[in-house]
Amino acid sequence: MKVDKEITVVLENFEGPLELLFHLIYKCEIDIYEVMLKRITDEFLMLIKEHATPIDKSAEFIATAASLIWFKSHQLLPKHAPIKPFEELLEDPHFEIIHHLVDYCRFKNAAKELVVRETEQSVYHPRGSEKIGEAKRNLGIEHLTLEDLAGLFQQIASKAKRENGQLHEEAWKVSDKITYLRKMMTLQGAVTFSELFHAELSRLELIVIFLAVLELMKLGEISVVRELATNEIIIHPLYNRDRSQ
Amino acid sequence: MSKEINLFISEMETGTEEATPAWSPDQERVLRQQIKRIIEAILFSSSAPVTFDKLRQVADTFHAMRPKVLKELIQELQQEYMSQQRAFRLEEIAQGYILRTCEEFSPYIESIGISRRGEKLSHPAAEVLAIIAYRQPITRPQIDAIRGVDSSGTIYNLLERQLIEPVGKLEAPGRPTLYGITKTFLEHFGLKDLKQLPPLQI
Repeated sequence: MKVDKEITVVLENFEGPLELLFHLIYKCEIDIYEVMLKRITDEFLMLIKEHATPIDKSAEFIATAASLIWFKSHQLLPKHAPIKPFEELLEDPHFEIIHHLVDYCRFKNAAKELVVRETEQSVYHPRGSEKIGEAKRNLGIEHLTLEDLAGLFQQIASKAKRENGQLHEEAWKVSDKITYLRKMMTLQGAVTFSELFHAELSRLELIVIFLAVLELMKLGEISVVRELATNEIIIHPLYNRDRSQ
Repeated sequence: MSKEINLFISEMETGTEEATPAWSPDQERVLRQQIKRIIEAILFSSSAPVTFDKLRQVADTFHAMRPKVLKELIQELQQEYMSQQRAFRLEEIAQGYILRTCEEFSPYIESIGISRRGEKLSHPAAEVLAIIAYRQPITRPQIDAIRGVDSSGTIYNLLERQLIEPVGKLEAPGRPTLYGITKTFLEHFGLKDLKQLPPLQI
């Protein structure tokens, strides 16, 4: 597992071998056409060695390293006078990967420019492309529509473990859950919906917690808000109310 | 308010009184004004760029004119918004015309919960998009070859966001799908057409 983590660090920074190669060349600050293959290859191998990566995950990286070494050795070999007319085919293997890299760099730059352009463009708003008030809508009890409620409850119910038709004693009380929620609010502030209603709980308990949330909303002690970006529902306490009772 | 309406009616009356084939300067002014208002109304009601052809079709139902004249009128409208210092501009994007707010009002617009920031592209998505924009039509294996990594997930996301679309099949073994950029792409990046993209560097 530890190894797994390390490889993700590598893969996170460099999406593929080309990107890693690009980074190394960039670091050396040399002309892309005069890359010292030995130096690059050494560093490349060192990086792979450093993170003892499982072969299946780093195969692409190793393949690139191998081709780099191949190019290097090809260059080191004494050059014979061309025997075959096919010489052009092998003409400059060095050039081949560099050409590939240059191509990749071009698009990397182009992508950067696209992102810049995107940011610049995000300040121009066309007409009526979005509905107003979708961001952080407060789902206070008075704004909560029946559909919202039904939707929320459906979500919760679908999570509940399937229970066989056994009768249980009433183990959960709304008042207990209210106390629990209050404690949770003071301890950790906001709670997400999914955190509160996790799947291990029984259906009945989920219902009781849901009722407790509704009750606290009615009392104005908490507010339920939908985060626009993640579509996650967050419950957080309202401090302006006097809660000493 | 009532004054405005009266003004308009009197203008219309002068327009109908002298229905001669040769237009007096006054009549022409009224006519041009009315066409501009039609254009304005169409653009106002549309959240996506409206093509020149579409505008022409509609304007022709009111009064037939040469495309050059219509183009002039659109430009006049564009100038008017600027000289009147309106909060929006008439812009040419994705081979069409659209009204968009000026950038200085973006903080206010965002404060009421309208934001375009959620649409941001991820790093790999931008890379794939750049490759497609500059090399279209292109297949997934060709994109993979340039990037040195698998791009199928990214392509799927871009397809879903309608920034790219399949434009055909390559006549090669397996007949891989060719991808190209869409109108949504041009809209997203505020481009008139692909020629507006800077040339590839190095």
